[in-house]
Amino acid sequence: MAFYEDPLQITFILTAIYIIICMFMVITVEKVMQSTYWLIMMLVGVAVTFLLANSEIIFAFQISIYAGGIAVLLLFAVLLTEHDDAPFPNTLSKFLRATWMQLIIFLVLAVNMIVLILDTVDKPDYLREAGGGTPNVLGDSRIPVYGDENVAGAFEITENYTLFLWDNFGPVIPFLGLLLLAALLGSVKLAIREWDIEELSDEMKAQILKSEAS
Amino acid sequence: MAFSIPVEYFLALSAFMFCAGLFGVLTQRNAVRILISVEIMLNATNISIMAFNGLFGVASDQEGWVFVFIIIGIAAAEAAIGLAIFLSVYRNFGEITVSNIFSLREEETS
Amino acid sequence: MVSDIVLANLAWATIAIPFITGITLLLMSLFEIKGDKKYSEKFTGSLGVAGLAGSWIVSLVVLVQFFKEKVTHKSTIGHVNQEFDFLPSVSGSFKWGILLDPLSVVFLVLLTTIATVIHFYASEYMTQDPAYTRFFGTMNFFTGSMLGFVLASNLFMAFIFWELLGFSSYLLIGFYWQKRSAASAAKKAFLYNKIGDVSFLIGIAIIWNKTLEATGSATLSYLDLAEMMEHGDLRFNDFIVPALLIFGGAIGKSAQFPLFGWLPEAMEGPTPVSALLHSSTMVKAGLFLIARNYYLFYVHADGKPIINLSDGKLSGVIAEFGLNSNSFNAANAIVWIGVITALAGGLMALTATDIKKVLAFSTISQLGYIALAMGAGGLTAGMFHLISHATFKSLLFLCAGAVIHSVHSNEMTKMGGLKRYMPYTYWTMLIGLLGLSGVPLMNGFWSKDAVLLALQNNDEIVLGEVAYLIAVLTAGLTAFYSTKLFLLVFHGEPRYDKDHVHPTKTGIRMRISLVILASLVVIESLWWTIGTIIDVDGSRNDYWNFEYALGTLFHSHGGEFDPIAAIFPTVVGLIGISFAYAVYGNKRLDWMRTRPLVISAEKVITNRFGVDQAILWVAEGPVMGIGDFFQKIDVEVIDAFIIDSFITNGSHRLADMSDTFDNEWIDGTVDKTGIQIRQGGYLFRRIQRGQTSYYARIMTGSLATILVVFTFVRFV
Repeated sequence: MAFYEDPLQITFILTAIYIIICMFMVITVEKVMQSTYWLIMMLVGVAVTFLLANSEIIFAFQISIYAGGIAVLLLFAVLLTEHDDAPFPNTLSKFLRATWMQLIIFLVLAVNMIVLILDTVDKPDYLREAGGGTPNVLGDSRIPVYGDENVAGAFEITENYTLFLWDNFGPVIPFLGLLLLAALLGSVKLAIREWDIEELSDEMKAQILKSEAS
Repeated sequence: MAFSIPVEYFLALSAFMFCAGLFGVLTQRNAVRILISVEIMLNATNISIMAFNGLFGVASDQEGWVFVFIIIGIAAAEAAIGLAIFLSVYRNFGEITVSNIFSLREEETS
Repeated sequence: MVSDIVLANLAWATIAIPFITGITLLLMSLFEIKGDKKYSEKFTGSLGVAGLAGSWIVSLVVLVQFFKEKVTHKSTIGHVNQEFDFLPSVSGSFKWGILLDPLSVVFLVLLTTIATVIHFYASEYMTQDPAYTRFFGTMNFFTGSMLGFVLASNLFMAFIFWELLGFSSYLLIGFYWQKRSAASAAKKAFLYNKIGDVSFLIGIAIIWNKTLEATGSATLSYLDLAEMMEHGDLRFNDFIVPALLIFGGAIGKSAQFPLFGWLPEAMEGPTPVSALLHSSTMVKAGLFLIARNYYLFYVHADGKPIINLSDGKLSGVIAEFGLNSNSFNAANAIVWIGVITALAGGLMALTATDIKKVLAFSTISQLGYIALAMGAGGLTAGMFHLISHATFKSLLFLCAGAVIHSVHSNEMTKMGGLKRYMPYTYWTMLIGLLGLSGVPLMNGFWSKDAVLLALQNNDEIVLGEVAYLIAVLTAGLTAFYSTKLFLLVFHGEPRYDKDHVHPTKTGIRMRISLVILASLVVIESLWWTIGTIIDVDGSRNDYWNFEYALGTLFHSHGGEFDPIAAIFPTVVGLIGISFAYAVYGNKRLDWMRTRPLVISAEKVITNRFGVDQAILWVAEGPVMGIGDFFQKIDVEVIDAFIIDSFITNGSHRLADMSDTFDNEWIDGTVDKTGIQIRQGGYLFRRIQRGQTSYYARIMTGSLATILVVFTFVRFV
């Protein structure tokens, strides 16, 4: 089946193009703030690919945590540092001169990885390992998400996932919580500043002196 | 009619995203932009994990998603820490251009 | 019954005992020098004397047992020959062994006896000497070397001990090495001996080669050689050259005519050394070598070798022996060298004023006598005179040592009137000098008569009559200088410095030694007189007749004393004594000195007939000529042409080239390499500039490379 006959594949390709455009803008756009905006849009695109892979719950995570929380953190970082400069020179020749090495790495790696992946996945042994002989199962699983027949499939998958998460991978949640707590404390420690009383305004000074006196 | 997306599409997209993110990491000089590029790389990883989970997921249910979840959590922590570090660096150096900050470098001897 | 092995082991013991004590004493002397101390003279002296005394006792046992076991019948004389391989080889081994036969046993006993007495004497004579220990160590070593030489069973072992003898005599002559004269005397003795050694060694090599050619298996053993001579495996005529070469060794060692210059110089050593050197060890070694190898020099008239050792049977009467016509020259050479040596020694003894030098020249003269006896075919006579000479000459040297010890001077002109101070020395020296002079019925008389008789009986010597007359004249000279010495030393007015020199009595141990040796001379005289004159069993062929006994033991002739032939030499000797008494006894010392002929003759004689000068000239002329020639070649050819023009310029150019090469190529390469490396360092330091992005680039680049490699491998 050619890709244009399959609406899912067409959707995926469109999503991928959207992601790549966003990514390009993230890297090349001049202002850091706009770069962050483009990042948020790219993250949404990634979330759509998750949805295409039958995982609504990860789609929800991606939208809420990534595109919501983390992007906001990055926005704060951009706002607080406030430093704009052009990431790349204007002319192509200058651009090439400045980034030839990175470009080579990028091209070599990209071509190499894609070729490798395609080659690997096409191997019959690998397909057999993958079980079932139908490797391209994404979007066509036993339990389609948006199928008319079985609406409850999505819930079943989510249930499976949460069962795994809470039963088999039980320690993951406290581990992540601990990690985030540590990150919180560390960032607070890093971001906190020793204030010199002379730097403050007169009002603040008077207020602090007053509180110290009491 | 059963629709399906070949797993190669996901993996190719993931590889391209990863390389593009790497390119960003290598070229950008603003620390915030580097962090953003790292986020792109993390997303590429997520996509590939999703793809592989789909590839094997028929037999093994949704175990791979757990790693996606963990990566998202770690990315959050990283972003928080990164924010704090950028603040601190910006306060101390007045800028966060990575190429200008090399106080760990050894003094030039000649 | 004592087996051959026991006898041989006893003989080994006689060699080993003095060697052990000698080396022990030398080590002790080394410790003395290192530790800056001195062992008690009583101890070291006793050890030194004990070494010789032990050897003497063992040698007496060997003598008695040998004669008991091996000389069972008059006509049967056995021998003990114990040999084993020292350096085995295919063509024939160098052996190491003992040969006991009458010759070596008699000489062994003579040697140990005299050496023991001399050691005993020296233990008192050398007191207060700082190098007392070293003296006895070297003396024991010296005597041990001589013992080894005497008992050796083959020419190889004999040569080794011969060289040890030369070495230790060098040490002994140069005993007072602090004195320049002693050091040069030692050097001279060593070098003169070396000439003989080389000759000896060449002779050995030729013998080795000839036996190898003749039989296919080379040998140097005396017994094997004699046996092969007897059986005709070796032709006597082939051995004239090696015989003469071996006699050349004897010339060096025994101070014969051209090479006698070292012997008077050797008087620089202490007197006991002189006594030992002159009586029985060093100078007799050469003559003993001739006696030992007599089969090389003479054959019986019927072609049998003169030492018939192999079957040990004598056919009743000793065969009439005659000269083989081909050995004629060798014998003549020995006789005439002996005659010349005897006369020259006698003349030089006349003019010498140093008491020890008189005795030394006398020794040369007597050695010439022995050599001429051996050359004339009188092996018995030669050994006979050797024995008597060893006895009285050791006595005379010890007496001279006593006199010198007393007067502290060697010059006879500074002595005189010593009779009343040292009666023992007086009487013993009188006995010794009577023996030396050949006064009738003394031992010297009998042996000298035997020598002269041997010369007289040999018709084949060229100008034999002249040689006989010279020998008789020498006997007269001997008598003359003996009397002169005696009169100058003991009689007349004292000529020494009376204020400083107070002649003392001879010490007790020295006196005992003198008496022992004097009594030996007396015993010999009595024995030989009685044995010759009185026939015990009616015939003259009896062991009581010492000369006859020797002849029997040595398979040679002897005991042919002829009273009529003895009259002439005796008369000449008595004339010499009377003349000397007339000149020196009546205080007419200056009478001789004023005759112009005597003065010029004396000058010639004092210069030793220019022999030493001639040797110097012979040695110096060609050597210096060759040296000059080579110096000229060196200066004019090598220096001028090769070195200056070729090597110097060449090496100059080479050096320039090397310099250029060094500067431009080697240094340039090194510099360039350094510069390039520095450039590379500048290049590479850029990636180390501390910028994270660079590190990241390198890291990812490397990873990408690895991945590309993997992919490449996978698809290729």
